[in-house]
Amino acid sequence: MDPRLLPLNAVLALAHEDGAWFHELADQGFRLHSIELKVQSSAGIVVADAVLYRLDPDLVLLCEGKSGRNLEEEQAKKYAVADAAALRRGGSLPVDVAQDAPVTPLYVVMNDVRADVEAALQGWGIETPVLSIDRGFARLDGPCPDGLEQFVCDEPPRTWPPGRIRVDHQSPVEEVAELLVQQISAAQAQRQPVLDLGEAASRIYRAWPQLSQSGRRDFLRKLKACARHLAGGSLKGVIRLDPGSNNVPPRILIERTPADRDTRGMPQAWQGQARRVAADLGRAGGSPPEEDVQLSLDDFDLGEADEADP
Amino acid sequence: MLDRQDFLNSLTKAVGTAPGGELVDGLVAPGTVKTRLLEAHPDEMSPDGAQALLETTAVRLNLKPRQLGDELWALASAEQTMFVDTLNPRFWQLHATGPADEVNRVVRKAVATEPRLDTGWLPKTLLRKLDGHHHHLRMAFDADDLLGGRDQAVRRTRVRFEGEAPDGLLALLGSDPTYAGTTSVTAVGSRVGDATVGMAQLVADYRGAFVTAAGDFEVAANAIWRLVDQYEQFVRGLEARYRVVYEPLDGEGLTLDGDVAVLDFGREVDVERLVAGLFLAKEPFRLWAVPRQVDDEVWTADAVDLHVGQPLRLEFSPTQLRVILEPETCGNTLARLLTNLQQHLDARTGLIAA
Repeated sequence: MDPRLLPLNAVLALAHEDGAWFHELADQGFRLHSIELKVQSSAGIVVADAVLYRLDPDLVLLCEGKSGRNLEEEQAKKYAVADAAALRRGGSLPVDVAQDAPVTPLYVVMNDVRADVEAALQGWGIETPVLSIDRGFARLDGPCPDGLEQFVCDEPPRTWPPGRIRVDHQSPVEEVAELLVQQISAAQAQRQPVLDLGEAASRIYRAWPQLSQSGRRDFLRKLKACARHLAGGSLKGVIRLDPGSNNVPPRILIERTPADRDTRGMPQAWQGQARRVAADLGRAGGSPPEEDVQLSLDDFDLGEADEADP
Repeated sequence: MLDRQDFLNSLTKAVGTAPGGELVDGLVAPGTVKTRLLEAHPDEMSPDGAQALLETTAVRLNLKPRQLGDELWALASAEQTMFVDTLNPRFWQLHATGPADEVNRVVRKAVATEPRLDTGWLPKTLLRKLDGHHHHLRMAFDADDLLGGRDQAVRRTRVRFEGEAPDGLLALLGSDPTYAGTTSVTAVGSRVGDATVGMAQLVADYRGAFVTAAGDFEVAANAIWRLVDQYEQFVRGLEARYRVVYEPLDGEGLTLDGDVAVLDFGREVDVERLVAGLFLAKEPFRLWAVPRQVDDEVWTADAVDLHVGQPLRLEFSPTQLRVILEPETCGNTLARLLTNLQQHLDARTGLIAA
């Protein structure tokens, strides 16, 4: 998962009461309205990473995830003046909330840069809560409006928020490559001869339909670069890239699949592919260490039979 | 066209006849009835869709399909004839009276070569819901691949209990810290029915395999149907809750719905060992991935379920596994993972109900 997306995934986790991570925002009554939502304010348009809301008291949170320490002053000022009236005009106010519900930006950052982010906001005269996260840690602090309460979560298991969204259109090629490999292998398992790269893109990055034309072009370019690299490396002889033309969308032609092996040879063929791809992605691959296998009484052929067993 | 009731009557006669004789009613070889639950994904979820998938599969397995009745099929090979009931187009039942090894071979080949087919995978809470009076319990816990290591007190345990109170034994072992993790329920034997409707001896195992060893097959079939219905409900429930689904909002934005499934192991495990043993692309998990260590004892894997060719994401910590299903991923994938972790990692593995 692209580490840039940890803050967004933390917000999604906190708003879901599924036991996968902390769920303090869900406990406070917040629900997810949307991700990647254009929000109008009197200072201009911003695209909020996530919009949460709650009822009674009604409150809308515009969540902006930042993986680094740098905020943009202009963007911060747009967030700061966003209100329900502007959201309603832009069609981005959740229908359930009151027309005059308070709207608050919530900056979501890694915990090690929290102080820098707070200092930057203070320097611009913006008073707003900050949520900072780390492995097994989440802290919401700062000036909170009615309906939002501060919290600190710091307890095992020490895990990161689950990766609901693994990449976006700005993610580095290495992160995208891992998910393209997954799509290729799924297509191989289904014995598909062709993997349409546009379809693969929409499954890898679910906000694909919302992407601008230029964003789609950039993302497809990344996928093509990954496919070209794999076709010349670990998946040489297995896949071929058809870069497409005006009339033909780019696609991957699958020339070989372990699924075509007989049932005995299939696992070894898949394992071989995993080892090669692991090397390509810069990972350690390989089989588990050999252990002394515990023998069973059945291995001694005592002549017992259990005909009733299925 | 053969009536389904007549077919069940023929199977009852087959159960009560010594193997090796003439075909019963000119249709079924005598012997115990082996039933296999198959989960199917026809291109179209309808009787026609099921028929198309069944015929494609039969050709691949060199079996000759013949329609016997409504959604009832015979598949003939040189060795034996098997019968497939596709009344439920997604959850099929295959019946055969030939040797269990031969039935298992055909089923294994069918699911290995056709990504739209899988067997059922019954976690222990579901398996223990088999109707009737349980008098047989089998545990065949085998964690060689996923635990291994000489420091594991119990990594392979086989227990076969025949008696009137198998649940008591299970509770006893489950209360012992050494054995609690091995109390996987691999098979349950039950006397189903009563004096009014008839009786049958039925064994069910965690892979959706059943044997009717004696008695009235119709009574056994009723118990099988009831368990299959519960299994269907379980799988559809997993899909409804755990598929992470994205929908565009009117205008801009995107909604996202669905929980992350959390499997708690009930113990701490060596994650590196678990990850190394899980992605070998072989039975029973048949998962493929290039796992990544993201932190101390935290691993992730953007994996493929090779049974059905669907992607899923797995995130490991020493005590839990988080599973993120794609919108297209089948609930059977999660059922198989849960069931096999109970059989091959720790019998206490369960879904956290938030």
